[in-house]
Amino acid sequence: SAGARAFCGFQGCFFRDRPMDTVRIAVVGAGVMGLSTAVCISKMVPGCSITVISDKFTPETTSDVAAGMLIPPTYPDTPIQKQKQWFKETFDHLFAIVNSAEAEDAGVILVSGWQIFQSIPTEEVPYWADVVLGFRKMTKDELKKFPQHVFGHAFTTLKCEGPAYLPWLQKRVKGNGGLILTRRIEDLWELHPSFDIVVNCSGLGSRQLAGDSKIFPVRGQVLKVQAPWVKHFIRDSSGLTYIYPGISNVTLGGTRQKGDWNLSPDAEISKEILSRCCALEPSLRGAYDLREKVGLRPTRPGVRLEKELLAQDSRRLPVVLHYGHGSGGIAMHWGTALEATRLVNECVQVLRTPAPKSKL
Amino acid sequence: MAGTMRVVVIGAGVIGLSTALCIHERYRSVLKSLDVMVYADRFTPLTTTDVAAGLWQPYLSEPSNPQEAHWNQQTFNYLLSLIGSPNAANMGLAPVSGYNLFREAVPDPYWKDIVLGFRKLTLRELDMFPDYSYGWFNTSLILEGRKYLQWLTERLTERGVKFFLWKVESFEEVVREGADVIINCTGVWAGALQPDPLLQPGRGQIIKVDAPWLKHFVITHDPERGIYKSPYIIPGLQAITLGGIFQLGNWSETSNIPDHNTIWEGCCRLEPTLKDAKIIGEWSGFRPVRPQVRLEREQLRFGSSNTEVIHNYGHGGFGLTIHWGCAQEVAKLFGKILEERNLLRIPPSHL
Repeated sequence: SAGARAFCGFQGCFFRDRPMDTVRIAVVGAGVMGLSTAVCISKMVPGCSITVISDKFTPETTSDVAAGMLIPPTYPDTPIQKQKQWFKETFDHLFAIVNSAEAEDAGVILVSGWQIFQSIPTEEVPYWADVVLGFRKMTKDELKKFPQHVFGHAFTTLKCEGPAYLPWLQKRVKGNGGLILTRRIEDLWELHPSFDIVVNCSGLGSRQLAGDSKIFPVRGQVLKVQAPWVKHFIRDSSGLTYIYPGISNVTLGGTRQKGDWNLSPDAEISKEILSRCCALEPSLRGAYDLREKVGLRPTRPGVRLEKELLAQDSRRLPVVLHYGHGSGGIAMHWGTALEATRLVNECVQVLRTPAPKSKL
Repeated sequence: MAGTMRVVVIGAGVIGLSTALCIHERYRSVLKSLDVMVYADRFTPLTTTDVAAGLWQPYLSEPSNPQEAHWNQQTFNYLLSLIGSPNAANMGLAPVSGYNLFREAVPDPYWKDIVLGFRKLTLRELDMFPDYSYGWFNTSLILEGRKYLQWLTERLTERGVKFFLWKVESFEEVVREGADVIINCTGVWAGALQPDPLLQPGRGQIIKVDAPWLKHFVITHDPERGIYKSPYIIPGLQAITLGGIFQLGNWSETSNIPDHNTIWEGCCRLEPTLKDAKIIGEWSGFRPVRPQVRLEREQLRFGSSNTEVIHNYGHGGFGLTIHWGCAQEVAKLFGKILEERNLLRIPPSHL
């Protein structure tokens, strides 16, 4: 029914009966960023209505392809303390879910394993070591399993799977009174004046929607296979080869192809991924029901998390930008969503403050 | 001079089949002819081994016979050496990590340096288990009974070992069939062939569920109640085994509702997501409980001939954990028999 009402833009269609004070918020993007931000806003920002608008929903978002391992990347342009905060907030949020009866519904599981290095790293203990569980260096006996590798980390972390997590978030958005709308937005001004604040969680879509030339795809191809006997994750420290056991399949990866927009799987690459993974875990030769998937990581030197006031003639549109997480989307999502929500709150405060005589 | 040797293995659980394989691997090439036969009244999937969850983990306390600790270690090292083979999963073998939980601090187990990465649990990890205040984390191995028995059966069949569905009533009848050496791997039923007051059934009941999101074993301990009487969750290669029943002296082979409820409530308390798990089936089995494993030679006299029997039974709830060390020990004893009878052509290579 929300779709049927979208025929004439958004003017007045939904909000005829809204109280004068309700701030109307549009979240653009329904991947993990859009949905988690919508949930955070609905919990933390009083007196607002939320509409999530996207052309793609689960299971067709980038977040659905990601393995969803809580092993964070490093953003060169973001202070380490901030990254650690985002990762910890996300980990704590998902840890609470994994310890509840809802874990399987939400697609969150606990998984242990190893990150292995072909040469001893300069930084032997990463910044996130005390966020994951039971972090320690691998013993000599453990390393015997990986003859090409000389050093490793052993720890327990979480895996958060898009195909279950996104529907779980969507349920929460709706449960808190939010609306979900299928529509492709070509320009953020389409949302004016129906919405008071826009939250841009459009990932790579921001190249167009925010005119951001800094964001580019890093293409990742993976295989999702059946190999239920694999109970541990194995990740080469380069990040290029990994084996991530999940709820109903094992993700084998991967690739990092900068600037490559191609969403079609490449059979040669699949063979090569399987070969690299079998070198680390020979039992994978018995893997069956192999499915190829491609995701384009929305990559930037740093996550874009800031406010912007769009202006055109006399029109004003406050926008909170929340995108560009590259390979760390799932790992950082809740922490950055909380921060985006704080920015939304600031925008709401400005809107609720009586305007001074002079125009902005 | 090399000679002919007819060996009958009684029992087709993990003990019988692994012992048969070990003997055949070691001595086939040094004997003129070696005939190994397996007689059993139960084959997979109907053996006690098929009911076991398959986690490699000895009891917490040191065994009264220190050799058992050695056999446990030999088994772990042997299985670990097979990890990394593309066939590991076909054998039923995979690494698995997990938690042992206690209500109070306990000393480290004697096998802490056998398993991989043994450590105590951190406070945050213990937060996941509100009923427990202390514990261990380590990486061990799953050796799934059913898959392993199928694999052993294939290896033995390739080697020409024959299997006979036969309920052996006495050692004598096996001797009359022409056996030179009998390997007695009859598990909990050994008393039917030769009374053994030390051997008792330790009845267990388990529920197998489909819960593929669980990747770790969780074993709780209640020292007052005793081993296996506290809930445990053990992932297999496909399904998850839920358990926590140990009833000494109970010969009831059918699964019952009170035990089902004990297991289900205990495990759901440990792992609330089990409410979403689909139950695949429920099984009962008898752990062959004995103060020590009976692993020894015995000469039996029937008429004018001496028959060698090697006993290998009484492995309690750690059959899979100890099996290979015991199989090698039996092979050693078998080798001594061959030496005594001057049957060895060349010394056997020690595999």
